[in-house]
Amino acid sequence: MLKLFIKPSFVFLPFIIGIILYKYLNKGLRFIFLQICFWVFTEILLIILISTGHQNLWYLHIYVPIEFLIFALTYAWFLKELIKPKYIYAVAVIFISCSVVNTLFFQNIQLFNSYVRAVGALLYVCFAILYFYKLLFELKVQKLRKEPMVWINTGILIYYSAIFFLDILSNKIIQYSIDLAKDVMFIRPIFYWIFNILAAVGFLIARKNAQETG
Amino acid sequence: MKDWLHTDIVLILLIGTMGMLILAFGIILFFSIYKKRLQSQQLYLSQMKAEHRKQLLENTVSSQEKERKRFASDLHDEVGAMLSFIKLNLGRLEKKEENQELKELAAESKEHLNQVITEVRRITRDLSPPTLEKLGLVAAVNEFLSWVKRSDSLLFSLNVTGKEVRFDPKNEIAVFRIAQELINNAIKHAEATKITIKLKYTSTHIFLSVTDNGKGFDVEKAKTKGLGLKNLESRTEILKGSFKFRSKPKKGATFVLATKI
Repeated sequence: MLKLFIKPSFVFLPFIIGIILYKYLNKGLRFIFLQICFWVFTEILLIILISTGHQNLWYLHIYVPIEFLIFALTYAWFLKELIKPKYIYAVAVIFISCSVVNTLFFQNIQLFNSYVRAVGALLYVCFAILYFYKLLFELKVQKLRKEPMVWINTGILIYYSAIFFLDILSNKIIQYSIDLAKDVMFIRPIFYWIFNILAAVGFLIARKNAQETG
Repeated sequence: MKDWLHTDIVLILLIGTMGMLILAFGIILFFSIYKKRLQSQQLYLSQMKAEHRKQLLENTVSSQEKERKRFASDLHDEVGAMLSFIKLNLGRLEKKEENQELKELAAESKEHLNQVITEVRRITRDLSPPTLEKLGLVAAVNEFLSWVKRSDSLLFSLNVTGKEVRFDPKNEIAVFRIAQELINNAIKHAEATKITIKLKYTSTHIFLSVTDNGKGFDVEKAKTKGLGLKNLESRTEILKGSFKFRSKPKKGATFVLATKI
């Protein structure tokens, strides 16, 4: 039961900070906050589903496209100087369509939608790299440590590259040992915590910047 | 378990670990490259700024010199000619007039007019010294001193070492203006009684030093407040030269300028 609450606990950190500092967040950071709100909702729902003995795999088939949609909106805003938002929206439409096709024909709601999750993680890593490339290309930010999105983007890059690797590893291991696959899955929260801490730092920096600029 | 430990799982683990290591290295690399690029961008921007400022300064000085030349020319051709004509008429009046009182008045007016003509000539030469263009820096400084000597009872000495060479007229006039400003400052602000000017020519450089025995000044205060010093620094910047000065209150001042010919 304790394990059930350890992983979600950290998402409440950026969630609470985000609520308090919401007025200091720009549009892009508000999308990140929306993502965190969605994660909070997901965590609560999963706790309820697990504690009441219900199956929860079906929810991942809804969760993955919504998560991608919010990230697409986020990066469309942050990368608008580098890539026209319509291209990112197009990627989002393709991804969501593929997700639906995957659910209908390959991995139904009774199965773990590992294919689209892996592709999604890979796309988030690409978005994060593109964001760093944009920063390097523009050179507008004078101090990287004072840019909230740099912290959050670093968190996204670390979290989703780890997720990508761990998903493939656990999918492979599960064929041989379910217990070992579960052990691998328990490494995931470490990266989840790292991301949430970095997101919280990002929100705090956004407030500091807003106060400094008056 | 033994079978898979040595095959695909190990491969995924290896690739994954490598990937995470590359990612970590990539993040560190990104921050260091960003810092370097930002530094080089800032350096480039400051160079551009300095270049722009220099260009602006050059244009200002150049237009200032043009305006001075035009004003000197107008003063010489229009006002000077008119004054000479009035002087000639006053001379005629002085000769032809039989009334003694009027004759004396004409002579007195002619005397005052002579002073005005001299003053106009001095101003004209100050504004645009023709000697500088024709004969060079040493002659122009000498001439300027001779004009200053007429109105002030000061002790001047001009020492020239090395063979005088002519250089870029723009730079020549800048060195002359610096000398002119230093001498004027020594007279007006330092209340000096003795001024020594040294001009040294080498094959590549010219050195100008102006020393006075005036009341001196606080160097630190002058650096922040002195507009005159800013002008001298700006002119030196145009010359791509270097400019140093030392002074102490009540102990006079020495200014040294060095620039390439």
